[in-house]
Amino acid sequence: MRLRIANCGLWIGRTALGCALTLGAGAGAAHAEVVDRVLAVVGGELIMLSDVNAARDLGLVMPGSVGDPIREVLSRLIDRELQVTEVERYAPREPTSEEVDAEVRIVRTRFASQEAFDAVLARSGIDLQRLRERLREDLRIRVYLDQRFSTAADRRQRLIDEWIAGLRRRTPTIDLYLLGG
Amino acid sequence: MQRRSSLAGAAAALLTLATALPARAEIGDYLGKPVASVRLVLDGRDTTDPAFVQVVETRVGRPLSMMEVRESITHLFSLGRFENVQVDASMVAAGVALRYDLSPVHLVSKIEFTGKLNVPGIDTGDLRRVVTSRYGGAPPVGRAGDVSALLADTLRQRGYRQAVLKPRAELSRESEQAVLIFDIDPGPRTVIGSIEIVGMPTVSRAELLDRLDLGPGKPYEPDTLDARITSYVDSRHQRGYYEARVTPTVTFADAERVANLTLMVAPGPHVSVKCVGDPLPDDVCTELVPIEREGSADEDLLEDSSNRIEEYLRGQGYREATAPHTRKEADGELLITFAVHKGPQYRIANLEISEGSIPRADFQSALRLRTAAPFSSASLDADVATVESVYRRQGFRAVQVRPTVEPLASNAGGTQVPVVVRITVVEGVRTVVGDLRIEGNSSVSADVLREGLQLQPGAPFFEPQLQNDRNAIALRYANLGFRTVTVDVVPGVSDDGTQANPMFTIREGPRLLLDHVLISGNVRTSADTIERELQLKPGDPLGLAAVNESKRRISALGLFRSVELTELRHNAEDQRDLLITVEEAPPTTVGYGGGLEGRLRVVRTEQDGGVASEKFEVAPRAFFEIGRRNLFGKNRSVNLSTSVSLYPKDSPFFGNQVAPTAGTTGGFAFAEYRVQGTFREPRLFDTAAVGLLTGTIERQIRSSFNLARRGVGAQVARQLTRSISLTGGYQIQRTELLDVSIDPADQPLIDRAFTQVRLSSFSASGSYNTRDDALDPSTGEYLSANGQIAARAIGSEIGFVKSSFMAQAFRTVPHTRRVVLAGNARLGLATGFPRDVPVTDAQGNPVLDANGQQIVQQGVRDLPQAERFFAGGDSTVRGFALDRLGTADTISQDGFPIGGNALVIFNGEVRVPLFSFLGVVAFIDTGNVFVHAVDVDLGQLRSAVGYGVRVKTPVGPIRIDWGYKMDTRDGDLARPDSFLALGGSAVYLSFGQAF
Repeated sequence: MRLRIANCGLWIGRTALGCALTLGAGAGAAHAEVVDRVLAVVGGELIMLSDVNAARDLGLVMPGSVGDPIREVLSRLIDRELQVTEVERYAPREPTSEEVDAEVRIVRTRFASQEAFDAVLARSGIDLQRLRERLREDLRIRVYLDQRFSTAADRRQRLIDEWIAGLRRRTPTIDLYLLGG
Repeated sequence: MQRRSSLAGAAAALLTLATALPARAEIGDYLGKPVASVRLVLDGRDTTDPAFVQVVETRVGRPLSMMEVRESITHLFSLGRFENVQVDASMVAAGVALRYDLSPVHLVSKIEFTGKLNVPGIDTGDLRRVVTSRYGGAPPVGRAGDVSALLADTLRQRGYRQAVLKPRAELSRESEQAVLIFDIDPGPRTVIGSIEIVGMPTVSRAELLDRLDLGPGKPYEPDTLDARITSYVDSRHQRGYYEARVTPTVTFADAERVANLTLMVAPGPHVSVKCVGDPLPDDVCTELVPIEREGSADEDLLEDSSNRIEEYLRGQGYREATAPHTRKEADGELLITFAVHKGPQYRIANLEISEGSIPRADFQSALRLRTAAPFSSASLDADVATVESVYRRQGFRAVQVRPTVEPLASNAGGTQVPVVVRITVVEGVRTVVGDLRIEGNSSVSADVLREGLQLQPGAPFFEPQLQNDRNAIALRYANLGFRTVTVDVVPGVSDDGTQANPMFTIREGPRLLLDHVLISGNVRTSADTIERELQLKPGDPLGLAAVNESKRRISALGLFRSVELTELRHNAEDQRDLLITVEEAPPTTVGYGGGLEGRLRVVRTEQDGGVASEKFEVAPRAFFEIGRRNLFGKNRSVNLSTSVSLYPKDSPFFGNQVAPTAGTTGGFAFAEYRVQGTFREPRLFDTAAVGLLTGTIERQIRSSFNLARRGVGAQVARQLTRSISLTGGYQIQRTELLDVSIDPADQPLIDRAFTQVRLSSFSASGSYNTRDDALDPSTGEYLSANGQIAARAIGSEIGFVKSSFMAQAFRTVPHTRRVVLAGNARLGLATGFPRDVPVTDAQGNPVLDANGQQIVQQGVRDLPQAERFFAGGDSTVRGFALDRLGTADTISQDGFPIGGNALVIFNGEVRVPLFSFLGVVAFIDTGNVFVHAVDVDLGQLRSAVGYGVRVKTPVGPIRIDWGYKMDTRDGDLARPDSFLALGGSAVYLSFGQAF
């Protein structure tokens, strides 16, 4: 029995070494990296991997520590896109440029340096103007929710959740991540 | 020892891996490095399709930018061809190698279910039907999430409230199809626990539960329960229990495994309604008290019903009408009574309106109140609003219109009260427009903007017009690409109110420019064909009107079932991509149909020595068309249309044109046919003109002859405006006369000399068309002028010029339900070019002179028979048989039409719809055919009146007309052999309006 185990250990070691050499050699050559891809389409608007990365890296969406972080951020972005589309229809109060500036500052302070902030923007494929636009949309969603769900705090979140569930039902959504990531 | 060496090997392996991993770059490492290569890989194979390559923004040699990667993905995905787009990058010596992996859209060809399916209430066929009814037979794989949610909801309705579905797709590389598989774990099924009935149902508990199919232990299916409750309540309503209600509430227990139901049952009383007091017709009472229709007898509805009755009566002049209702309930019966009290009827003795700056005549016709008519407060309010509006439009912003109603002494019985209505107008100050000021505009000059405004300096100031002008400015900007423009306006009225100096403040916002045009869904149609119709190109402002007009033009190509233009947001905020998504229509079209045609025709009879008689014939007709559109992807098309009509074998239209008398046989044979092939080039030589090539083979039956014709032609047509079009063309044809009925002695010399004739001619026509419907217009005009010239110099055997003019007008009679007055006038004039014709006798033998030479008649100007004008029939002058109308010179001695060189037709018709599918018409037709243009004599016009029936069909009306000659003249024929032997009449059964 011991012999068998010892032989087995020898086989594992040789095999692992062979595989590692092969993989290592492969990795040393040109290794393709997924730069970006489509994860979902909500009402015709694309949500890409870079959107998920941007939301996470810029601190716009904070995933929990358990489960699949991409799944969690993506679900939140899908819900956000549903809300943006709905909010566009009702045109709530337009946030002032000062309010948008304040939101940009909050995001900026999450980074130790301007370089780090710029690097995340570049990695995400968005510029400052696009970030401002995104934050403006977030503010409009907030205004809309405050207008529409100005009810007691204990019921507010439940009503919002029901509203979003309704949006999910009636908005064509293609969740490509659901079908295998 | 062996074990130690194996562990060392594993450690070395990990070390190797650890050292290899850093070779994998982070995304940030690629950015800014030059793009060395860009590969597009479609389903595992490289593609260089220009449609894909040209929308990729990451170009070789440029530094890699994530913004351009995202842009490229957006473009590629927007094409609608791909289910997913993934971009991979790898380091190579020259920089970054990019690979766009394009996954084509996979349509679901099959849906499969796995898991625990052998449980009650789950039927995979049923689940499949739910999916296909919502998403069609082949949804994209990407909709799997939606499909999954739909299925979960369906299972919930079957009682499986905690079902878990896991979708996965098996993709096929060969067919771009996929199998969508749902693994279903239905979980426990919720069953009904306790059932409590609150209230007093009119049936026993057991019967109620039986009707609703409820019982402890049965599955809880909410949709099914709701449907059964609705059905039960409806049945109660139908029996007059309008207040019957069953309201279920449910509470769940045992982790939703058990549903405890409470049914609140309100049986309600049996309801009956009565209108008592002053008489009110039963149907009016039922209409105004909609208890039965609404299935309710609640207090709000009864209150509304009382108000409706009162408003109805007040509209008839009963100002003091009341109709209070009472409810009396006893022994399960609810009697609702409306006590109708009309009171006296008020009638307008006089309507006085104070004099003002605007003459009463300017708005009198718009007033509802009329002297001697019943007085109605609602009409008075409407008239006050009308007068106010008229004054405000003239600049009297503060006008006040005050009505007073003064009842006079009533009549003896007190049932009628005359009233004097006085409308006093206090005009106030008139405001005129002073200066129009515009600020904030930088892209459009103020002068240009002012030109587009309705309000102009010196004109009356009307505030709603100010808002219209504000909208006009905003629209002008939107059409220039300023989609977020805002325009504010303040009236700027002076303190004394005499002048308004409106100020328009414009915030232009960013101007949107078109970046890319993406075309998706075109499989057979070339992108060029679509792009040609676009009213904007990359770099142009994204104008609203240009986008809308582009969509209209692409739709008008007729190649697509649907056309959608979507503006896609861009990383650059001032740029948009325009995605054109088309769904192509089937390239091959096939049409066929059949019907009956009936008309009165001229035939020769043996009984009366071979003179003309008339016979009503009904003939089956059929057509078949097949077309192929979008040839070569250029919207060219080719069509073949055929039609044929069958006539009884014993019809006199064959052979000798003699009506059979006895011993005839039944059955049908081909009589008329037409085969026409057409090739259409929509943009001839890349112009806006349409080119047509046609080839025709046909046989026609006329009254005094039949003809067989073959011809080819070419036409160029150009639509100048929406209503004006021009056409020019050339045609060459050979016509052979068959079965000529006219005695040769009566025939013009040209017909005896040319039983076959080749005609080569040019033609031109123009038309002006504002009709709302070509087949059954109710408004609009149609004018057309046609000219044709045939000459021996261009290969014709006979030369002539021929022209025809037509004018039609259609008007809907105001305040009617689409009663249409229709008028039509036609004028045809022709003359032949003089030519020498050898003279023949009645048998066709040459007529010789004294020297034995054939006599030649010089200067003959007649047209060949098939080209002459004829009248009489269902589309010219009804009341006369086909072609049977003519002066003495255009009808042979035997009564057969010879035709003439001039034609005059007038038609008038009133078209009255009775039902949505049926209408009647009354008409008067007049006209005649003359030998020469100089012979036209309006005093010789023949007229007919009549009526008809129109049965509407989706492709136009079916028409039955009876026409009656208004006078009789020598040679007119009475109908000899028909059950419709109404002297001097003709009947027609055909398709489409007469004109």
